[in-house]
Amino acid sequence: MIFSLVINGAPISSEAPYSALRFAEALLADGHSIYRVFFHGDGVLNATNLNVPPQDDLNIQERWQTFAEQHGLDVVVCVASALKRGIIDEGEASRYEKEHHNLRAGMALSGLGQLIDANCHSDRVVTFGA
Amino acid sequence: MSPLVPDNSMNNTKSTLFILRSTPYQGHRALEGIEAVLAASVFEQPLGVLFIGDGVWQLKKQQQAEQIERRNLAALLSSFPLYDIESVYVDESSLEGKHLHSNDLLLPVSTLSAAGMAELVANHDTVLTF
Repeated sequence: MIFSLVINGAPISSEAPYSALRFAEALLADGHSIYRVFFHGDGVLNATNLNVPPQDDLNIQERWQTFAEQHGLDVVVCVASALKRGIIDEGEASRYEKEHHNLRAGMALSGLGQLIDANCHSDRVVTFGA
Repeated sequence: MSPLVPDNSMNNTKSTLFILRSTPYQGHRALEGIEAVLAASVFEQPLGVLFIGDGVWQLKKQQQAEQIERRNLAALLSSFPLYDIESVYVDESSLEGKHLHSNDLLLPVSTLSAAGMAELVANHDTVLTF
C-alpha cells in the first residue's frame, strides 16, 4: 500500500514525530511504500538543523533526516507554517534578507498543494499530532 | 517532487473531509486548518468541512481579532462561498453545549447529529483533522 504521513506535532513538546518515525520504519519493513512525508503546523520544527540535544537523548530532527535520506523519501515542509516559525532554506533567507538558514538537507519547503497531491496519490494518509 | 500546480496526475481525485476542532485563537492550529481547506479547494478537490468541539467557536460572528493583533479568521471563513466551499457542517451537540445557535454563526451550515457525522466521515476518502 502507498502511504503518506502528515506530522503536525513539534519535537520535544510532542511525541508525534517519534511515533511517526516508528510507524514509517514499520511501513517500509512491511513492504509498503511512502509517497511523501509532510511536516505541517508545529511539525515544521522537526526540520531545523540548529537543534542540539544532550548526547544521551533522542535527536528526532536528525533521525528523521537520516531515515529520509536512507530511503530516498520525499519530505516536504509546509512553507507557510515554516516561515513564520523561523524554519527557512537558503532561497528564502536570500529573499527575506536573513543572515542564516536552517532547513535540514533532504527536506524541501513547499506549499499545501503538496499535501493535496499526496492525498491523491496515496492509499492512506496518516496524521500524527492532534 | 511533484509540481506545485494542479496537473493531470491529480485526475485521481479523492474526497477529503476537514474536521476543524481547534479554538480560533489558541495558537495557529485553526488558521492553518482553514488554509488547508482553501488550498484543497484551489486544487478543485471535492471536500467537506466539519466543525466540532471548540472548533465551532471559529464560526462565531463578531470576532474582534484585531484586539489581540491576529488575523481575523472570520474574514477567511467568509470567503468559503467564493471558493465554492459549500459543504459545511457543524456538530449539533457541540453548538448546544456552548449555547450557540445557527444564527450566531457567520456561515450557512448544516447541523449534524452523531449518526450524521459518522455517515459524513464514511462518505469521504480521507479525513484531515486540525
